Amino acid sequence: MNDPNDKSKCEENASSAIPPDAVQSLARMAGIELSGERVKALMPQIAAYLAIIHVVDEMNAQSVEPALEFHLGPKKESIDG
Amino acid sequence: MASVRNDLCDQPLVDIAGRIRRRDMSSTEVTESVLSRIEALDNRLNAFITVTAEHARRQASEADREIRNGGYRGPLHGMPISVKDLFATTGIRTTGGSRILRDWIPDVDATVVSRLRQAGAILVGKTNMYEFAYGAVHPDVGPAKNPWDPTRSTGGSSSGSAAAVAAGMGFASVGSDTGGSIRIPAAFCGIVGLKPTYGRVSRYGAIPLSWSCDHMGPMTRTVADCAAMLQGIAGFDPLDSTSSELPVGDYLANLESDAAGLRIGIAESYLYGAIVPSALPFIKSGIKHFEQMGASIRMIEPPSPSEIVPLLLTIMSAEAAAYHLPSLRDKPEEYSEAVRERLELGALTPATTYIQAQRLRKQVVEQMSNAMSSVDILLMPTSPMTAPYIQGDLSTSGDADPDMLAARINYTGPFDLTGFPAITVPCGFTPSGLPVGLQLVAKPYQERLLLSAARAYERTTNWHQRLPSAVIVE
Repeated sequence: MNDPNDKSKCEENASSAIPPDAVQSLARMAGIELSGERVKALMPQIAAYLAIIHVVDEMNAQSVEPALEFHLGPKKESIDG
Repeated sequence: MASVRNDLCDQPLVDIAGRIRRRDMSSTEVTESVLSRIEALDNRLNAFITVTAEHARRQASEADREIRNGGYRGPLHGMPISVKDLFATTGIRTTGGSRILRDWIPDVDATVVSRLRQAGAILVGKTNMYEFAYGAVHPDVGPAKNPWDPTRSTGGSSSGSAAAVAAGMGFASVGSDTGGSIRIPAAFCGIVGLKPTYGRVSRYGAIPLSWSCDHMGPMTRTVADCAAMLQGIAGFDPLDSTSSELPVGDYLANLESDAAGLRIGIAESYLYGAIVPSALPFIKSGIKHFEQMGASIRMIEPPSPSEIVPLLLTIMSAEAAAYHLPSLRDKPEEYSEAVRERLELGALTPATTYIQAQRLRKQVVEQMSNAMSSVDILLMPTSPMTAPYIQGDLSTSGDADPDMLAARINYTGPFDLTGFPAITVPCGFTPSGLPVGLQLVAKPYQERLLLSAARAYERTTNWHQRLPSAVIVE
């Protein structure tokens, strides 16, 4: 897990891990057009954000079931009521 | 400045409700007082986006007619209140504090609004808020000002609700809380704010920030008022898929229980994190106060904010981006710069990271439940800071710095992620006259216990009786 006290290192890792043209491609996948200039301006925030969410990726969630559950209809009644 | 509340507008909701019930006073009289207060103060405080004066007068007249005919509905009947401008209101503009929705007039009420209408409450207006409740003020709307010092921020995102209630522009308001948006402004403005258990109050008809982290709850000047408001808005709603079917308790009953025997937990990671030195003595004094009332204090080890806040930010950022994607694609320039940046960052969140955060959330809920199994209440500061100056604040600077946002929600965010109920009550004033909030947290659906613990503290202190400077110079 990242050392939260070493913020600059986290940001450095995050920004070096994702070059600006990759940010543009990722944004395009979500249907958002970001100009080169805008990506450049956003890079410090992107680095800080990625440093935060990389903490999530490094946490241990091995024994946890998916939290998102899919249900059809009422949980308490049988199909024939 | 210490001053006792004495104007009608500054009295507790439940006291004025009693006078309306006894017909010592009419709803019209009370509503006119509140509308006059709004007229006198709101040009300085910017607490309202829309004031619904004529609507309120009609509702008040109808309430008076009903009450005269023996149709008294309960403590909200005839009481002037406001709601944050993210709750849909039939026929009344609902902007979400944004340019994008500046002209939206819904044809439906949010469940919170329809319940307040059923309880007979009088809607005096829709309150100012951060744009789409996402950390920054839209320049078209401008910031609400703190009634204790108008050069200071109210905090947010339920900024106008906190300013309105603190300044007597309504007896209560309803806000929303995804990272601390009820509790932080309540603490900065010296009022009571309750974020209920996730599922206790319907989210239907509230513009979402993050579906799985959004909570709706009351903001008031006293704990009893908060209980009365929660009673009015809580309960199962088939229109909200995450609404709980558990029956709602009687929040006003047993409110006067004392704190003797209460088991209060405190945690190193929630006490000494990054709190400003001027606020910490009040939190320590709050702990001592509960001890003197007969509560036992013990150290516990819940999962720390540094573990929880990244999960919350991941989920909130991704869900907010998902909700806003159509507007972000088509008219990004209509967002404020900071909100646009936050949404763009959220759109870059990998799906796998979002899913990991939701999985880990389950684990954190279990850890929080285990840590709290030996106590009734967890006590901590509401915010690591007191109200900052508006100029240069994160909410107005256009800066979307995720680290700064994370720091702001250090003490409040963990309970939006876990869904545990939490309340803030005023617990002191710094030497510069700024309110400090004390936060109490309970286990899921224990709002009754939470309210009675908060009331025990309030009953033996007088912080809630102070009057903000904006009201004194009226």
